[in-house]
Amino acid sequence: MIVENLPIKRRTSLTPPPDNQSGRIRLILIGVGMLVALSILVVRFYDLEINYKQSFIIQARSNSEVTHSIPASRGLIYDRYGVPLVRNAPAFEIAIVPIRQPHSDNAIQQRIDRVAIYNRLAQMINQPGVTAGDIFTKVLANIYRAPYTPVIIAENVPRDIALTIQEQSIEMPGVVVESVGSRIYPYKELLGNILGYTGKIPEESKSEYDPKIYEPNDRVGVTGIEYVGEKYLRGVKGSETDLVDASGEVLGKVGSPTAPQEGDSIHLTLDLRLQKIISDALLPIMQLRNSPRGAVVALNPNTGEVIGMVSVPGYDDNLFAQGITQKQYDALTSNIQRPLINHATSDAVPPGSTFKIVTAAALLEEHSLTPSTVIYDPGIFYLPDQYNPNSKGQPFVCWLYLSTGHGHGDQTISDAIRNSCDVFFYKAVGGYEPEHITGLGPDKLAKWTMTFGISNTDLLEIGGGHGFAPTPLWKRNTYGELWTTGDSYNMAIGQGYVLATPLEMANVMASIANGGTLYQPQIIHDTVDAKGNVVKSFQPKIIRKLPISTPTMQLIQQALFAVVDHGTAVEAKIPGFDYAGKTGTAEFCDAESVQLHICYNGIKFLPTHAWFVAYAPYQHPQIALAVYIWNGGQGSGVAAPVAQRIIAQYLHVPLAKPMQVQKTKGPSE
Amino acid sequence: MPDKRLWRHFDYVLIIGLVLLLIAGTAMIYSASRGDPQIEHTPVDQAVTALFGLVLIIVVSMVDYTLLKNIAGGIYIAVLLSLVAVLLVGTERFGAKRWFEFGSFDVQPAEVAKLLLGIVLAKFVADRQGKRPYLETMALSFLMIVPILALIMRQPNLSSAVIILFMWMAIIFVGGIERQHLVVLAITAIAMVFLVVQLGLIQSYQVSRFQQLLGINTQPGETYQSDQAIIALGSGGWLGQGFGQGQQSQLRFLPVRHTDFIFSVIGEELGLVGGLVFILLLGFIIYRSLRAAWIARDNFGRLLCVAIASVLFLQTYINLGMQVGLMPVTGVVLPFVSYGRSDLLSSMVAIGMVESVAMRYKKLEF
Repeated sequence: MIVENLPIKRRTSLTPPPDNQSGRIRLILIGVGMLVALSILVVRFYDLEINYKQSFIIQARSNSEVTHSIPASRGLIYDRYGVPLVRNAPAFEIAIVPIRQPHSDNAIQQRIDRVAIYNRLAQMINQPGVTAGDIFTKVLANIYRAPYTPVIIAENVPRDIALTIQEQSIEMPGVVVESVGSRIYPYKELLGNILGYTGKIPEESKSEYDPKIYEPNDRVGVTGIEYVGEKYLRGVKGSETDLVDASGEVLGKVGSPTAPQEGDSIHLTLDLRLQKIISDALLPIMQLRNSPRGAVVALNPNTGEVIGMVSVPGYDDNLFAQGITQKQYDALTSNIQRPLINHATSDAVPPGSTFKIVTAAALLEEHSLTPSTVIYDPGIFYLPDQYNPNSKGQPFVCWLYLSTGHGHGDQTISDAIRNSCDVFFYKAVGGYEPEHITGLGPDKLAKWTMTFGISNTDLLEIGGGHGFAPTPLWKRNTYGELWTTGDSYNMAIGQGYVLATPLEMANVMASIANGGTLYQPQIIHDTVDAKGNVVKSFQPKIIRKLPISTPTMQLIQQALFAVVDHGTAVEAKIPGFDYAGKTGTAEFCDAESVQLHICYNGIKFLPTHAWFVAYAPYQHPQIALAVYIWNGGQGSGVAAPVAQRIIAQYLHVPLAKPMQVQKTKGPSE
Repeated sequence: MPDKRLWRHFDYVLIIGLVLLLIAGTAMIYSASRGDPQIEHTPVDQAVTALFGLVLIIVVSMVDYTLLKNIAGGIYIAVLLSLVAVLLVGTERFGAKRWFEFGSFDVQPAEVAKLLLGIVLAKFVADRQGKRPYLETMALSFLMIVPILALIMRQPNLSSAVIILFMWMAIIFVGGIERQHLVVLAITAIAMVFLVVQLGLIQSYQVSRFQQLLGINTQPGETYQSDQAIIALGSGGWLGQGFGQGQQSQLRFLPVRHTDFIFSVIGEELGLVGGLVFILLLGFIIYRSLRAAWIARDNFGRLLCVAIASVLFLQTYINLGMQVGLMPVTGVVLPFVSYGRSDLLSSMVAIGMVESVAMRYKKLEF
């Protein structure tokens, strides 16, 4: 059917193109114009396809190829005999994949379903900052931007809770349990202060972590060996590239992945067996003495290796690596004895009579006196007050006087060390006009204190703290007061302003044990890569050779042997086994003791730390150690038995009858 | 068919070119939409629409186009009313009221208006053939499109307005323009731009799209669509990454890839060569429309074909220009290639009219 034949009214007057010629010219012009315009597009199209292809392909790849790292397994930490001290184990994170949440056409129903899941999760996880509202906010922030990317709503969820959530996740669409590399520390408090722990990169030290190596959610060593050894332990991450679509869904892999390189393992100088021996010896005695705080450091005197180091109270580092509740964290941070601090390296406290080793070396080497110089100890004497000659003067007593009412009598330096005679050292260092003793003076003693490594620098690579050698100049600058003879007296016996850490005192003992070499204590023995090649081997480091003559050294060694053999520590003697030691009972009055009302104004006898430093065997020493028990009482009655048990067990010496710990508290050395 | 003589002049070559383009275009829609449940139905839709459109071409071509002149007045009023109606009861999407929804079938009155207005303008100018001064024809015809333009700008829909204006210029040009009128035309164009800007007829998003194009004052993310499109288009090289292999297209980084940005899929998967084939086919269809104008037996037929050719050309140009980064992003689709049922049908009806003109070409053969 052709419409022309329809009987409808039509205008039959067709108007033929009158000026066909010019009309056709205009048509040609339009056609040419279109052609020219189109050719501009074609040139541009050519340019894009041919000249810019490479750059566009790269941009297209950056759209669809997402490279992410494959975590490297963290290197392990071993004791000196290869006993692993840490395990790699996952920590659990709970996440929600926004797009996989319950879906409903009814927006209100959908929200009800989702919030029900949030509530259920919040209840199960039960951590601060993980309420249904928190989850809602976190998920909402990502739901459109990256619907396939899991939103982490809780980290460090305890294993049992994570597994329960995993089991029930079928009822909670969108909820996934993810595991991240973390650590388990099987020895908990025994090594917590040394190993430290891994965790999220701390906000305050973000700048330390190279963004080329670390990603924001990485776990790093936060304290202890984990922190110091981070660059060895972390390994090298691998990488793989996912092919993703515009919504972020992973469709497959691109190319072959780069395998991660396992981190190097670290071998410590610590001997786990000794560590347990120390802990078993220290804890019961501390408990007996009701002391909340203490530390033992044991060194190999021939190398400076730290073979044992226990700090009480310690903490379970698993709490930080695997998940800590607010309550547990508060308990740790509110404990005034600071469990997070390694007291073996950080407690700068009066060393008491253990410091007499330093004083004795200074006196002899500065020729303040000779081995045969005799000084009389009356038990009590009065230091004349130079501003008030008529007064009786300030009394100074020997510890013996307080319990017996008499002194040690005539003493040589060897006697004074063995008996821990305070008066001998008072007079020899501070001088005593009535007996025409000039005294060594505080500046020389301070110099020798630093020579023995008690100074302003941390001894150990894992940090901690250091002691302090006071000088008259320091006192004037700090307190605006003159140094008095009394200050010298106090310093001579390790009281007053002089401070030392247990590690420093152990190192002093080690330097005597080896005949005069002050080693740098080290706790990392070597690092070994995954194939067993040594990356960094152990090298003993010598701080200095002590400028002490052989006769002086021998005198001090013999005196320290006598301390145990028939001196202040005779009760800690091990039958048939020779070792050297020195007791210390250091008066103190620190902030914690005031807070606990152990020390107060008007107290008759100040509280004391119990100290004992020792090395064994006497010939060819293998171990040098310092025992420090905060508010422990007497060095001889409390710290010495700890050392005795440690030495006997470590060196496999039978100890039929371990020394009884003194139970009562009273004035003593 | 009764009158076999008519079919002798049916432009089969044009239909062959069109069918090739439709097949290739539907194939690309298939490639762009597969695996995406929301748009997986589009290639079949498009194919069915195209088949229906081919029937429509034959039906339309059988109708003598001169009959359209009778109803031109009615068409004009209907266009005006539909544009008013869409502002009142149309569906709003992306901040513009352009659509009528009939179930799953959407119609943009502005799209249909282009074609219908072509009929009206062609009749008006053709009827005034020989009347002097021609300037009067220009002015009166322009006055006819002013309300249409105003209504379209209200939606807002700048690109449709531009296409109509361009179509008017093409009709005026071929309809008998003289040299001195070109100056008037140019002045009118400049005045128009000035007025549009001054009267605030341009929406802020339109300004910002031009700014994006010129690379000034862009906010991050604002250019996401055009960036993704040009990345896809440009990563094809000579022969492309292969049908169904384009990373940008297949991984859905390319937005509205089955409609507005279909040419980016073509560029990515079929490369420069494939893209040029599409451009050549489109160019060929426009050329055949101009050829119909060339041989038209009367001035109305000629101007009608010019109107259709100019609309097809400008849609092609704006769409391709947008995808190669030379034009701002607008909703103009690529004729015959982009998915879109109402647009495809109206374009095919237009081809039917071209055929109607070509068939009735009277050579001195009898």
